[in-house]
Amino acid sequence: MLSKALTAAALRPIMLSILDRGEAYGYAIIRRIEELSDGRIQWTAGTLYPLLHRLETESLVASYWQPSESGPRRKYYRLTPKGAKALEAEKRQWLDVHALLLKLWGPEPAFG
Amino acid sequence: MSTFDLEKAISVWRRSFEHRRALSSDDLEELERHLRDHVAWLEARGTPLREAFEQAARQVGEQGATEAEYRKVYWEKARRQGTLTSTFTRELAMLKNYVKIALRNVARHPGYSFINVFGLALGMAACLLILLFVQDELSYDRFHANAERIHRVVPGPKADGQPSNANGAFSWAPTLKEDFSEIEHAVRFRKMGWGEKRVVARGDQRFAEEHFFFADSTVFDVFTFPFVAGDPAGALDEPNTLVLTETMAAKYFGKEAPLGQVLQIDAYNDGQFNDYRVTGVLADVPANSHLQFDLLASFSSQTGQTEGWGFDPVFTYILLHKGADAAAVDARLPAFMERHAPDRWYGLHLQPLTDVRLRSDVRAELQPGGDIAYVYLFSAIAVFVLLLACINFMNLATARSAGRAKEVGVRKVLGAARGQLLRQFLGEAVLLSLGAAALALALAALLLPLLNAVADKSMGLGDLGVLPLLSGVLGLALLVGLLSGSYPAFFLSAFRPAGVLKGTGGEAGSGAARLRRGLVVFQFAVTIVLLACTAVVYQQMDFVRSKNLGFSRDQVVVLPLNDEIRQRYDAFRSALREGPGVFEATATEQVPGRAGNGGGYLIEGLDEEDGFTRLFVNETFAETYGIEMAAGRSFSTTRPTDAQQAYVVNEAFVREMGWASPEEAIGKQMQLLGWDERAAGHIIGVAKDFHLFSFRNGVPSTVLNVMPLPYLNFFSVRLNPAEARAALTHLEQTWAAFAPSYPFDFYFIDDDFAKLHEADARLGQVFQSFAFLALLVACLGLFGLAAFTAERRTKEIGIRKVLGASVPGVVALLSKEFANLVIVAFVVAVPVAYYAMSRWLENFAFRVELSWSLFLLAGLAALLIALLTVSYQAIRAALADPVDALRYE
Repeated sequence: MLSKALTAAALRPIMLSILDRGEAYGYAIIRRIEELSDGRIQWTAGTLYPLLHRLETESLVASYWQPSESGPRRKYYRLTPKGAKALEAEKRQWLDVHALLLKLWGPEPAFG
Repeated sequence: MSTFDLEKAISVWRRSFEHRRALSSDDLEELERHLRDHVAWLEARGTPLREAFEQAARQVGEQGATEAEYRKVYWEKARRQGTLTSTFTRELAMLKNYVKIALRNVARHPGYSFINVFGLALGMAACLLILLFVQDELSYDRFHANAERIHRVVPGPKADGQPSNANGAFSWAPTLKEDFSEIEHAVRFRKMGWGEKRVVARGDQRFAEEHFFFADSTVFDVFTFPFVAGDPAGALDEPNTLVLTETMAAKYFGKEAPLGQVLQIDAYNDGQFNDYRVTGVLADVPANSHLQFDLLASFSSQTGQTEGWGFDPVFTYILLHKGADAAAVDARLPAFMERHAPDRWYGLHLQPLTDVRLRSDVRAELQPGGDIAYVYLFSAIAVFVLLLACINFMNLATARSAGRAKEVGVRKVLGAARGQLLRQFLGEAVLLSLGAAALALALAALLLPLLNAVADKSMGLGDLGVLPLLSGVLGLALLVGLLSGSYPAFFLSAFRPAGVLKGTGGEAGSGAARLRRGLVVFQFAVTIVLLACTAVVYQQMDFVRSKNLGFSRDQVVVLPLNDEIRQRYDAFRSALREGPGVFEATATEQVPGRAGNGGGYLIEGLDEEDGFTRLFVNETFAETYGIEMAAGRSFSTTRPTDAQQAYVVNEAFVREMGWASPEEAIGKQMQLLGWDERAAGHIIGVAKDFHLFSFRNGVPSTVLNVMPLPYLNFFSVRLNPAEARAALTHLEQTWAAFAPSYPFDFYFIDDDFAKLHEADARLGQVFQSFAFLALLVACLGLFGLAAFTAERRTKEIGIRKVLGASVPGVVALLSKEFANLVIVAFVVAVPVAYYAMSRWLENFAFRVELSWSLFLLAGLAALLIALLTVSYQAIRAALADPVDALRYE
């Protein structure tokens, strides 16, 4: 399980990345994350929806209601162009951290 | 085993969210769908339904935690929006809050709120009504397009330099027009008779019309009276043409087209009916016109003399060219008179048309005038009543402020800025005053018919114009709200919260209490002034009604003379006297109360002609009117020379001539000029003064002489009061026998005299109504204050009672404070009322004496009413069980 701090930090990039792959409704997003992380990363509804709200107020995400055959209608979310840009920025930052960590965890470099 | 009902479980789950309103319905719907999805997923993996639901619900999140997350988002959203749409929403929220607090306050103290709002509404309604009245008075004669350029030509004694009469001579208008290039048009109205009606006939249809005039053809060039049919140009050019009002047209012609129709009119009351062709129909003359007519015949229709410089019921108006200077014309009028009529006793003056209603005090006016002083007076009263209401409002609000000190304290501790508090209290005041304004409009609409009845007007609220009315009322409400809310607002917002919450700083300070007392004194002073004035006006009117007129006013009936009667006058008089209840009858040119003519006389001891009020009568005048003689004798049928050579004067005449006693006047030579029927003669008697005009004018120096019947217009009959009914029937039957073609159109002379003082009597009534209103408003305020005081002193009263104070003692304690204030108010009010009323009474040549007891009575009445108002609260407080009082709080 991820630490609380890391979960919080990873919320935005994960959400933006998932929606970058296509529109989805809240429950589907949680399932997806669970699947992709082999159950190691689990979000609750209380985390997910407020996050979506926030992204929406920042206009990174847009939402709309869609009827469903299996029951009541569902609210779908999709990335806006502004959201796509924000994802690029997030991605760069994560890759920077990732690159740094890889270097630090790799074979000891020679000083001199 | 009970089966698990998913839908029921979800609905329970849902309701717990809904109940707390933590989530928007949109979000809740999304969350519910999420829950369902998870339950389905779990179920598909073999989890029993009940367990799946519980697990899913857990996964969706503990209610508290989820809601907290959502709330954070909502807040952020709100803040974001707040900055985006500036501070508008926040302000709106605050406004909503102010309104809510204000309404809560109203609901919590319905009694106070009612007194507050109702008192203010009453004040505003009164103000509105007075405004309407003032506006109506000021609007007189202003509807004419050329109103600013129209002037009335009025005469007055040369020595006075002031106009004395509204009427004048035939020759003024044409001569003026000829001499002055500044004059564009001149027009004359000739009123037929002083109130005797004219018979107008269409075939068998006969009516007696009072408002019949001859007018020059220029009348519609000068005045703006819109035509409904016909053409104003040339309408009255030809002889025997006639223009009438819509109402008249409907009366005589019904649905027929009036143009070209013919009416027969006996214009001179001499039995001669002439045909008049209708050439135009006018819209009815507006009520705010001093010229009131129903029928206008062309001036050229007149038979008989239509020129000369002596007085007739002719009213002259001129229209000046644009840019012409009225003052310059006025300045050249003495020279004009010198040129054309040097030996006349009068000079001419120009009077602006717009001054006729309010700034003119002349005799023989066409309509009883108003008085600009009353307009000012009423405006002042309007302001005062409004002020009283505002003061109440302020007083109650400040008084109650102590009770709200805690609220202010809490608001301040929670960070309310002074400005916010100011806005809150001002807003509350404005809200209440807006409510009062709405109520005021309703009250005004309700009271308007009453005012119309009292003031004899037909005003509507719409007369002010809907937009000015609404914006005026709204503006007034805002002003009053701000004005009356400002003191409590500043006062309350200045509280120091620490002190307030500790319970020490919330008392209205001694400054506020002083102010409150000052305001009560002011209120009652105004009320006492109004009460005293009402009493004086009432006394004067009573005096007018009951004062000896110098002749017997009871049961004198007046009828217009006509030729049928004139021809058989003696037979008619004898026939009348044979019947029941008729004492005596006489014929006169004019009647006391309607006299207006003057004559030029040569008198022994005077070098030149002098003008006096003249009264043409016949020999039975003194007997019929019960006039007493101070010296000498009255006219007699047994002395034939009386008809041409005898004169009777009054005491005023003797005084004016400077003769030592009435006896000295007897035998003096005198002659009425300009009448062939009169020869030089001498004074045979001096009559005690009797009234010809209203009490405002006093008794003029008057000369009576006998004239032949053709000069006499009225027939007066003195009835026996005990047999008045039988006498009237007899009179009517005799009239019908002698004058079958004339309607029996009579009036009682005391009614006519009462009409002369109608305006003053109305003033009295208006005063009365407003004094009542002021008193009501003041008492409402006092009631509120007393209630407040009693409430504040509940504990004190409780302790006093426990220690042995009696109920009367407590009542006296509570009443004393207010009684003192009323006494102070009385001291302030008396000089003001005394001054105002002595000024008003100066208008009357005959008046009552101002007595101190009257003022004392007004003061006592105010005191009594104040005490009654206060005592209700005081007695309630005094009778309360002290145990309850001490347990209170």
